[in-house]
Amino acid sequence: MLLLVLIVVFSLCNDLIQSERNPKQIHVLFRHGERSPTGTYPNDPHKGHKWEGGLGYLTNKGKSQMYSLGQNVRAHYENFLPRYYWPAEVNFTSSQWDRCLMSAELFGAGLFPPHDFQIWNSDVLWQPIPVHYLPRNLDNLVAMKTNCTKYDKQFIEVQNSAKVQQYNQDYADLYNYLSQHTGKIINNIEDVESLFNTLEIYQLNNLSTPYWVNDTLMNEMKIIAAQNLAIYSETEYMKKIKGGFFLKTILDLMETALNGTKDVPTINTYSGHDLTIVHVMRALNLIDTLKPNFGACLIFELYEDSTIKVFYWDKWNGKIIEQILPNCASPCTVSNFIEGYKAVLPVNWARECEL
Amino acid sequence: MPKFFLPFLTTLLVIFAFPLCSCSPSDLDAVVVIFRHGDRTPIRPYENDPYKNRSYWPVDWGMLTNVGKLRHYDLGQYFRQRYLDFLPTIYSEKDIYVRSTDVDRTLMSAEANLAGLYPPVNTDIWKTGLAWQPIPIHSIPEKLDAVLAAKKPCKKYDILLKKLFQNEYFRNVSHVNRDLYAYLTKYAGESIDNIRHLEYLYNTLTIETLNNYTLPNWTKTVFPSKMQKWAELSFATDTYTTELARLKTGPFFNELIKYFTNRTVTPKGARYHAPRFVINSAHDTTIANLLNSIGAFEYHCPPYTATIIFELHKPTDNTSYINIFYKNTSEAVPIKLRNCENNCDLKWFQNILSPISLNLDQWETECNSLILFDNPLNLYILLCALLGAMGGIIGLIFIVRKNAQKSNASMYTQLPDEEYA
Repeated sequence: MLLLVLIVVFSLCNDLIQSERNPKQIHVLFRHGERSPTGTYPNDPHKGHKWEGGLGYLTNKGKSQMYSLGQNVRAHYENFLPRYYWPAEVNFTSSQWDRCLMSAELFGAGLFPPHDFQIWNSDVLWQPIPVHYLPRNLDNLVAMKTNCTKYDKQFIEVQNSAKVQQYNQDYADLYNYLSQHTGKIINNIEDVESLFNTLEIYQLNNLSTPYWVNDTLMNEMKIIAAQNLAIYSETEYMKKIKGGFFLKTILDLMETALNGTKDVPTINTYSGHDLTIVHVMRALNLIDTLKPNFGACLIFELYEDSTIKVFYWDKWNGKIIEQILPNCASPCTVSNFIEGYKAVLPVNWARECEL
Repeated sequence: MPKFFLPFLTTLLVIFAFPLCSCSPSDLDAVVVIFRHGDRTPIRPYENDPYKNRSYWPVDWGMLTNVGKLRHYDLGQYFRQRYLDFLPTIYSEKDIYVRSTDVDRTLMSAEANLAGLYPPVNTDIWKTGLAWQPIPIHSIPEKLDAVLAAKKPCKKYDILLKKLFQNEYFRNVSHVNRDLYAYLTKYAGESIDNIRHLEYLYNTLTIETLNNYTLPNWTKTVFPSKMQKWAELSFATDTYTTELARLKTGPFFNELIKYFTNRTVTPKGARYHAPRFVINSAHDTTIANLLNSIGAFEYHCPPYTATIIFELHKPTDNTSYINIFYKNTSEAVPIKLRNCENNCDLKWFQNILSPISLNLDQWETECNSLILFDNPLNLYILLCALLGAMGGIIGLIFIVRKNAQKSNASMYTQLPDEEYA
């Protein structure tokens, strides 16, 4: 009888442990926080607006968001994240843009506030955390702007494709409308995206939008902005060159962690752009089009049994939604992942860029 | 008006008409600082190190400690005081550019320093109760960095450095030190056979002393006494000759001169091309190399947060002068270069640097150029090779000609129409 009780209790505990099991390694990719505009237009009433920190930089709201994102990730992984920051366990990688470098610092500040012996200055409850990055022309991983001849050729083909021409036909009236009101020629989806970014920032900062802007227009422009982000990974090959390289890199780190051949960081964070997230999610076939919010966050979890889970937070305080990977057979292990996404995983990136 | 009164009046006029004369700090136009990181743990303990267990140390090997963070925070506060009127208290990327080598302890030192230099005020306050704000720190991987880390591989430099240690002086250093090396090798439990290894060990022992660890008895007779001089000499070796200095610090000085010159040609009051304050976060070797390259290195081991300060003054549109300081204690002491004590003309400084300053393209070319004529043995080998090659060519011509004659001769034996068959 006692034995039976023990077995029941044991199996219950086991279940509990199972359901609350901790990952072995995580990868957190996020878009930087709210920033000031990088572009304006001739009829812009807010052209001369004084932004804290200058153009293209994080606003104070954006700074708070990134710090909160760090805190939220800490709260979500309370049982998994170490209480103290140890450089060997954590890696902070960023794109070279200042707003990303700053976002990484803020995210780190929220994720690892100093405790006990790590408090080095009682006046400043913060600790320095190094952020690494590669120069733009070498950064395949986060900025994803490295030169790639074959990709560039395909991208030109995409810009001339029937799909994009159809977009231009469909939006001809809109282009006209926007050009008239902004005083700037808008004749492709990229122009729409830049304008949307600027107008969205005005809305987020409670700056009045002109009479010709309304919610319907903003929603339509957001859809077009998302379409613009998607054409950069239109083909399978383009997915491989962009998001695929990111996937390949984190898969290598996962395999290394599982094999135990080398010490690799348990917590890996990547401070990037909306396009970075779209590239990766499109390579995973998780989305067709998406315009990620400031502070949106994509998380990969690796478990001891080699399974991978992916989560998307749509903004810094957003809902955490598990993503079912369409190409990864259940249980989604590293090997099933590699098998399922073979088509978008580069083997030799540089060679695959040659014509 | 009495005659003697005139000069007095003129003087008075001059004083009032030009309240911002060159003696005032307000003609300060640009500042470049370069510092060593703060206190760290040993990079690597030695084999027989009683403190080689990681548990003796608060952070991993070679990492910045809390003391190091605080020391840099203090240095940041020092900069704030020194440049209170020069550097706005609100952060802007237009005022300051921060660069670091791509190493954790230098990146972290820069961050801690900036916390002291830019405590958020006014619109920079983004979170009440937290006296810190994010500031971007720029770096490139060490293996690509020929300017600050100066770790980008350079073939010619490696060859020159190897040669340096084979010269008479350094061979003599090895000879003089053979007993010391043997002693250190025996007790440290690992091979110490040159001043660079010696400096590594010296550095570890220094850190252990700073952390109040009792050193083993065997160190008493050699540390710091006998080792110090050689550890200090080791910091001079990277830039011991002009050629070495050129390849090690030339790109940095080239950039410095370019930066100062660009600022000088910008008309006063016009929009500046570049930030007025540049911070470089680097290492003891960087400090020693830069000082030694301009002939201002007094042999020593640059301590934590040791800082070189270059200040550009621009009293009028067409004049500019610089002052250089070295701060390895609480005071920044002026550096005297050759025949200039202070307020040295920028052009003069540029001339002093011209033998070593070179841009990255020139650096790349020089690094990959072969060294042939700098040593009689090489010249002899080259001469032999040339003679050999000439002999070979003459021989070859002789054989070809003989063969040609032969084949010509044989052609005549062919039937005339067979050629078209």
